[in-house]
Amino acid sequence: MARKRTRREIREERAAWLFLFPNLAGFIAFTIGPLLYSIRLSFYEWSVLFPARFVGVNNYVQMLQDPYLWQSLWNTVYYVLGVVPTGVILAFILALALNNIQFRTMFRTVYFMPVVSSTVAVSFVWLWVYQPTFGLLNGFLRYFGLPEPGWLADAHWAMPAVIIMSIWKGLGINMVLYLAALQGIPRHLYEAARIDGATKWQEIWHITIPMVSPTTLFILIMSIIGSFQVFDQAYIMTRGGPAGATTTIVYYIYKNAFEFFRLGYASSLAWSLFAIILVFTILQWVSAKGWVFYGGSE
Amino acid sequence: MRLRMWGLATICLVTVILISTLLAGAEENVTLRIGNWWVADDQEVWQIGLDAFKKKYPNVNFQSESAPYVDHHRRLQAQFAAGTLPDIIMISVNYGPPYAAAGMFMNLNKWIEKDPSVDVDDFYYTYKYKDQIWGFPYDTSTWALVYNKEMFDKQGLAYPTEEWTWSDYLENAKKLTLDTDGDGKVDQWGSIAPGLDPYKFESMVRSEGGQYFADDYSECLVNDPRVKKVFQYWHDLTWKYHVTPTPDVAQGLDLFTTGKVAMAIEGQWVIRPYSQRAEFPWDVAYLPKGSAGRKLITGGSGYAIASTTKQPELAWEFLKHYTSSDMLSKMVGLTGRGIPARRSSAWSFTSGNPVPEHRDVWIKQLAYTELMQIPFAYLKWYDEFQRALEPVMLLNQGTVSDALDKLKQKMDVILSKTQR
Repeated sequence: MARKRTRREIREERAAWLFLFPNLAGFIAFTIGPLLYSIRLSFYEWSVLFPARFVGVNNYVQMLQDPYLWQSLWNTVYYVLGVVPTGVILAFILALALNNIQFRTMFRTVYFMPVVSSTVAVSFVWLWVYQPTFGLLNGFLRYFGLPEPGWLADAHWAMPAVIIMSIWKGLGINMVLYLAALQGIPRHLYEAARIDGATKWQEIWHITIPMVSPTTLFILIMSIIGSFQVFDQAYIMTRGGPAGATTTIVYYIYKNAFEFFRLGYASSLAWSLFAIILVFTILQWVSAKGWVFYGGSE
Repeated sequence: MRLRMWGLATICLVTVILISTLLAGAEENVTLRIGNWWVADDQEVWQIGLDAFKKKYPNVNFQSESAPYVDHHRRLQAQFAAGTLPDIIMISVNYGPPYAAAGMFMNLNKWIEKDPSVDVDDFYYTYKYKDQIWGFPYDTSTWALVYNKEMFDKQGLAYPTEEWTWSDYLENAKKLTLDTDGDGKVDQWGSIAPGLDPYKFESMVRSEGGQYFADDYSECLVNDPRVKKVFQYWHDLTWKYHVTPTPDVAQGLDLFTTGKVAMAIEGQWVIRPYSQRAEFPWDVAYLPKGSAGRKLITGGSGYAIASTTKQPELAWEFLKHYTSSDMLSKMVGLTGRGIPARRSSAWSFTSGNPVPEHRDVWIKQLAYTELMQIPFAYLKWYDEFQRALEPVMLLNQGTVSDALDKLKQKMDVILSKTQR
């Protein structure tokens, strides 16, 4: 049976709510409210200029028959598969490499700078790097006599180009997270392993990777959620081209909402994306029991 | 306690009195809000008209609400829904129809009827929706043939003339596509490939006797053999005759000013940038003629009055003033910003700029123009156009004929669903 709260406790609780109130009010009014409204909107056809028209599940049915949607979904999955595994593995390797060397702080800063740079600014710079005839990248390949792809102008290379740039940009933050996790691994585990004659590779595989697995789970979930929503690069570097090769699903939602005046359809697309990401996240969460180790120090 | 309450009440009363006197004084001044996309270096140009208006109406203040071009047109949607449109709206003609149909703009017909000082026929084209005039243009444009005189001289070729046809264009482009440094790779091309914008190709389609849509927009006509001929021509220029660079070379570059192509199709807005950047003599010629003669299209931007304005008379006076012949020549023509949309002041464009020699071609071509076709769902048309033609024109996948057949089918459906 809960004991009656003291006057002090009641006052403290009221103060807590008062402190939370401004943020909560804003959150409900400007985030939750519109979010819920957009669910309702997904059952209408609305161009903003003319009154909304109720169409039931028509938007959702249309989605299944919309070839551009499937294309943008595929493009997005391609992007996620390209960015997430490579990015996570590279970040882990980088963290291992930078964990115990000289000039540690300088290296970390250098790798973290792309993360805090504006995606817009970075996209503009990479547009020049990727220029097929006069850009840095192809100039470099030319020097070694390697083939020079058309990058952003080539439908087959455009998405790989965006993927490479995105990996480069997102590396820093995952690396920093892994660095923090590495610091938390008890040294005595490595000593014990060395005594038993383990090789460096065995140390990494049997100690390091399991011990950072909670961080890996976190990074995977956040990266997948973020990558599914890629937009800036498509908007700035390629405008979804060439021939729709880099039209991601959020870019397609944007076009439907603001270029084709179809806010109802765009809302239904957005909620479908939410459902997809939710499914992926739940899958990861459930499978986590199989490979995430929360042992910590003993 | 009572003293405190009285003190508080007095303070409130004084504040209210102060505010109301301030407001009463402020009522003397009127503010006109102008939604626009004036960029930093444009600002002083547009200010000329604002200052001139203030001389006649000293109690008017202006509030300029600028946003980048695309964002500005987008936010009109939101402002319309929220009822917060500015009084005067700057708008491009191709964005107009859906907004006009939704009632965003003030109907100017009765104002024009009552006011004999406005000569609507002086404008090269009108902002009209179903007989309702809803705005006035401030500039107009045409596409012309821009060429590198030095390259022509080097090959001993005669400059383009008014009589050139598209086969002349091809013949000369072939002679101007060369490997100038002997490394086995072409580094100079005869022509650029026009960007995949329906507006760019429309003049050429018209010159062949075709058009994108039926006059009443009941049908899309891009599968017409005359339209297919135009796109096949440009496709062949890149992939059959190799006189235009492929997209991987062209991406992100200004090929004309960097001396990589001999001829380009451009509007008059290139005068200032090209004069600054090009290090060779260049000039302008008429766009080559098609089988149906010389038929071009034009478009541009202008100003309208929001239907929700609280000051219709003042807004009307301002609109008349801002798009008057005198103001347009001062703000648009003489500054070299563009060709004023009025026949009476279009000349000012040439007098304000020293180069190139035949810059009046852009104005002379206006005699052959009519307004571009603008379906309701213009941005969707733009998107479908690019999706249909990008694979074949930029990547040489598929045929022009198939692409245009598919585009027609798609557009017929879109027209039936969106056209009002």
